[in-house]
Amino acid sequence: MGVIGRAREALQAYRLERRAARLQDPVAKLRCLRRAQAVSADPTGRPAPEAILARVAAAVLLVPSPTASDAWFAATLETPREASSRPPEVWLVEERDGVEYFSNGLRIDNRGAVEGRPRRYPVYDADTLELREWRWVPAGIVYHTTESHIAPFRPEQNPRLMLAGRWMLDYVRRNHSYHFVVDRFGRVHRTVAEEHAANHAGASIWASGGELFVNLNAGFLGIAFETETREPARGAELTPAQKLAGRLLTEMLRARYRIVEANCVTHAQVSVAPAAMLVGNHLDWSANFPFAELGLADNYGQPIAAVAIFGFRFDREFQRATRSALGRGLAAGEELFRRRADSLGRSEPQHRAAVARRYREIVQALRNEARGKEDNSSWAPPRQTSARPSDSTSAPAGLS
Amino acid sequence: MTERALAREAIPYARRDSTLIVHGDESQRFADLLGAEIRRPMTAGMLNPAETDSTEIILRIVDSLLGEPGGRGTRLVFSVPAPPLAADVNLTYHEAAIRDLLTRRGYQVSSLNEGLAVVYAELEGTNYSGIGVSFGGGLCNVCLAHLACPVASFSIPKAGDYIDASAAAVTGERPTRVCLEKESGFRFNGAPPNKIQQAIGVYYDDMIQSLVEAMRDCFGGSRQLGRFRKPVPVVLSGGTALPEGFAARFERAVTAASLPVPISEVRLAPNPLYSTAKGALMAALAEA
Repeated sequence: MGVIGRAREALQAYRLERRAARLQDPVAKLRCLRRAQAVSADPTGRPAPEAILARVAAAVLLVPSPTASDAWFAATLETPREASSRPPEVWLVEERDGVEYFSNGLRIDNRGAVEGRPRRYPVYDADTLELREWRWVPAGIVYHTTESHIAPFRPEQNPRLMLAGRWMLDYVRRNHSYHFVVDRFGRVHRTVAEEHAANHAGASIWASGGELFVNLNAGFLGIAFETETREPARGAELTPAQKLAGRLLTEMLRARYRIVEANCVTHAQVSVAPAAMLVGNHLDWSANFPFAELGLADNYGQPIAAVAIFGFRFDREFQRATRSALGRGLAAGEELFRRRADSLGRSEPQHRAAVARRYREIVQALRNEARGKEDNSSWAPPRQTSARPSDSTSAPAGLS
Repeated sequence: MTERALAREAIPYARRDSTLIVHGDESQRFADLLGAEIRRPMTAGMLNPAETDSTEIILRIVDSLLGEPGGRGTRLVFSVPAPPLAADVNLTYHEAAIRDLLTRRGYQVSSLNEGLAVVYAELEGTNYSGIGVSFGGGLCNVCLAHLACPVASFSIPKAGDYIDASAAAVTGERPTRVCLEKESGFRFNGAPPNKIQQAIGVYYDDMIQSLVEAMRDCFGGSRQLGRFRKPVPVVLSGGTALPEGFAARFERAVTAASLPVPISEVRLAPNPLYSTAKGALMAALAEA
């Protein structure tokens, strides 16, 4: 951490400590400290006195800080949500013949589920970019499309629909691609054990509530809908049965792991191409994801974390493909990045270089942690939906 | 007849067909009387995968402790271990199973790192900054916290059970017998009166040494040590920390290891058996 970050952090801690010390009641003190840790800045976004001091320090010392703290930044990433839908209580009613039956009507077919590798993942501070802690409980959900070839959803196509679904599931299990697949009839298949990581997100970044997640294979659960993105700007389509099943599955997972809405995101929102420092390495659900029908607030407007925090860029193709939905998140991310650089007294290129360096450090640390065991490949959307020139991790053939 | 005797003595038990399952503190005494090993619903700090009745027994223990919830949505915080160092252990199932079990009882449930619970229970005087250590049966849990925020936490799988099993192996006794000896008469000060206590002392030292080395390695890797401007206290809790002289022995090991965080004192919690529960209660009240 640089001089500015340290100065700010010390000041914040000093003020917080004094405030807490004045409280006699241990519970009130603990509550005060926990809340202060959760929201470390004035939510109005006004510059705090520490911010002014930090700017003065920057001007005097002229020392660039690679990961300088800016409490405003963390607060901004705690995007105010629309009326938050608390997931209803959902419990496992019974498991019979390899099928789990849940209290909300969800059924999960466990037959054929495979094991991945045990989940363990780091959580970074979105403000300081420092490691906060290691966790083993999923923090969020990434929604995918299988990008497998699909037949028209009509009764006379039933044999083709069944066959395509079976092939797709075989492929997914073989490659440990997602935790769950929702087929076109709305049947939910567990493909990789829930407590294990699956190869669904590869190089990816997300942040919310001041927490930063890098490479989401372990930290987030992957749900894929059997469908195909023919035109990225329009997104894919789901059958009514898939939407219903997706809603029930989301409810169950959110209830089981206390997953916040802000961490229920699409693959296009999180996917990155690290070498080119571009977002949108995968374009599944770059538009038209039915957040509302899955009981979620529309997350497309959330700042794209890779852009806001690490200064990732996007090219014209991605902009064109996503102008209808992700455009808001990209614009919000860019604005945050600019304000962040400005608040630190840096030019954008200076700030971009500093945070890119930190990103590479984090990725290297993750590689070291995995000791070469991790296979970050995911089942990339083929053809036009994954047409990033670099960092393509894998490009399996679509089903035909 | 046995059932009547259990009921008369108010000893918690469950009936399963023709089998009576005694649970709680008394199970150890019964096992020793019968010359048997106790069944363990938890092992290494987690639900015992080899024990088919583990969740049922946990549920009964929870019920005997808490009674009926005071209405739907009563807040309940339970402690979970930190990931063990140098061990490929998956804690997801354990946490999810306990959460599910408690949620079905009608509680509004959240989890809390066990070491952090000790910090919440015992370190109010330093604004919840310091190191909380819980010496349990299966794991020793450690959390370094700054202003109630965890900076680093981990566990090691050397704890009470390790001492019992290791001492039993070298003395030819049953682990339950060693455990009773450990809990009834073992102390660090003075010469050990018998072979069992001598072995217990050896493995206690091994556990302490392993934990202090792990603290040095884990804290040394944290990039947030700059937050600590003052020396911080270490507070010890848990049943394995009960023997007389334990805190002094631990302090000597900490001093010799020179941890990357300056230490102001090492002390035993006033009620070591209840520190984790107290910390969880603090968290529940703070969440309310």
